[in-house]
Amino acid sequence: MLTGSDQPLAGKVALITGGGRGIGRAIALAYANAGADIAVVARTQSQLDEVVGAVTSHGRSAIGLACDVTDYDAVKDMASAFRAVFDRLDILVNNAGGNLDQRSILDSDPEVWTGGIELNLYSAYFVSRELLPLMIETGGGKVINMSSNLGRSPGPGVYRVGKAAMWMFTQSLSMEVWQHDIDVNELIPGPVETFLTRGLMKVGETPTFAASERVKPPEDVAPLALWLATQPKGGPTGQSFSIARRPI
Amino acid sequence: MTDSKLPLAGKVALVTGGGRGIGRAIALAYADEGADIAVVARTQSQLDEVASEITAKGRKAAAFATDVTDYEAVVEMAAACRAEFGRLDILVNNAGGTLETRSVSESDPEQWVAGLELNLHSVYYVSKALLPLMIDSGDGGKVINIGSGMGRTPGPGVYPVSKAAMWMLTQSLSMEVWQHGIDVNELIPGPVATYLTRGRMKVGDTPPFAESERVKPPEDVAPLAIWLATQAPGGPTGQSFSIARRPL
Repeated sequence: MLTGSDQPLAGKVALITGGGRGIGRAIALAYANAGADIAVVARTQSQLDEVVGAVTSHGRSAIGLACDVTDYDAVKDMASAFRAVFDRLDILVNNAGGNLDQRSILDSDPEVWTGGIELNLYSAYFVSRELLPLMIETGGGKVINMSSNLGRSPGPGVYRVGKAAMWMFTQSLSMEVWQHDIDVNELIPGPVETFLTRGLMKVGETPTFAASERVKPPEDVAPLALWLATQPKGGPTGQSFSIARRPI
Repeated sequence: MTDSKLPLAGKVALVTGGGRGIGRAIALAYADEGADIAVVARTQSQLDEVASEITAKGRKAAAFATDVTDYEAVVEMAAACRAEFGRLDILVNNAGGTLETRSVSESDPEQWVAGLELNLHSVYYVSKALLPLMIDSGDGGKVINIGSGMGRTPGPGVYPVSKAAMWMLTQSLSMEVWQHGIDVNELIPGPVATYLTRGRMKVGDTPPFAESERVKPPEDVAPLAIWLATQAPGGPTGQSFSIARRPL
């Protein structure tokens, strides 16, 4: 097992929601490569098993926790299962999200709309609510909330509203936990080709909404997630970091 | 002497307000990463000191004594930079300061307007005069504008207004030059102990405006400036990166 300057996360434990595929999976593997032990959370067991296998092949410990993060009781069980395996938490990546339903408010289905708030906001709240006490006990850490430019840009669809609320949640949480040496920041990846955006965007292509943008593979998000996870104490908190290529 | 393994080897960076404080720290950090450096400031003695520190690192340095609020002087400086280096890869628009802190109704119009010239016009003049050289260099490049959290927070003084305007200039410029491979971003350092903030801020102290904040030495801004300068083509543009510790 390597440790040292190429292993800046050696001894750390990271939990990533939505870690079964796409951006969450890419971040989980990058953190493992940097020396962290990993818990991946997602609904689909087969995806979790694949990521756990990839992490353990890096020589790190990993667990897959099958959980619907929009269900508070399920999140409580997940947090208990996590604590049964790991006695600390250093990095929490609230990455689970989605619902790209583009319909306007008046055309929307209320069940789909409120489901979008549950998926993009409640999930981060539930997981933070249940796991930050452990992070506080173990001396602080980093929370990274995955967000979107769309959260700054009014338009159709619930996604924007969910992400706007998540940005305010990020800033509010940062002010609540900074005294415990926990830094809370937002990461905006810009357009990425994932399972959620398939059919809408393809790596290397220019997306329809901005000529200056570039569709990235999920792996291109990992360096910023690693940079945020390795900031020293007293680093940024309550801030937003974006690798988009258009003004928000 | 070039070390091709250094990430900025073969690059030329120009830093305004480079005679002291944050600009000096960034200039020295870029030299450590392999770049040749042009430092711009009004005060020749400060420029000479920074230039000799850079040459001591085995890098080329040029000092341009220039008032960046004077367009004619900036045009001459840009010509001298082109003659001296023949290329430009990184431009850090760092010159700035607080001139008139009184409310609009109590302010001195001359001081208020001078604050806009120092924090906004300077960035416009230097970018306008030097971006043709960056475009001619053919490898794209990075523009990093040093902004402020106060540019997002209404309050007394010209500083918030000027930094808000500079943020819009940053975003607008990013959309103008992305096709040349030039990425333009804002860097918000948060509270830093410098010549300009002496008497109000001391390293390690909590500043009066936010309990969660930490007053940093200028050197603590350099890692983010390096991170931005070393992003691959297609990296972030039109974005703001902050190492503050309070919601902006």
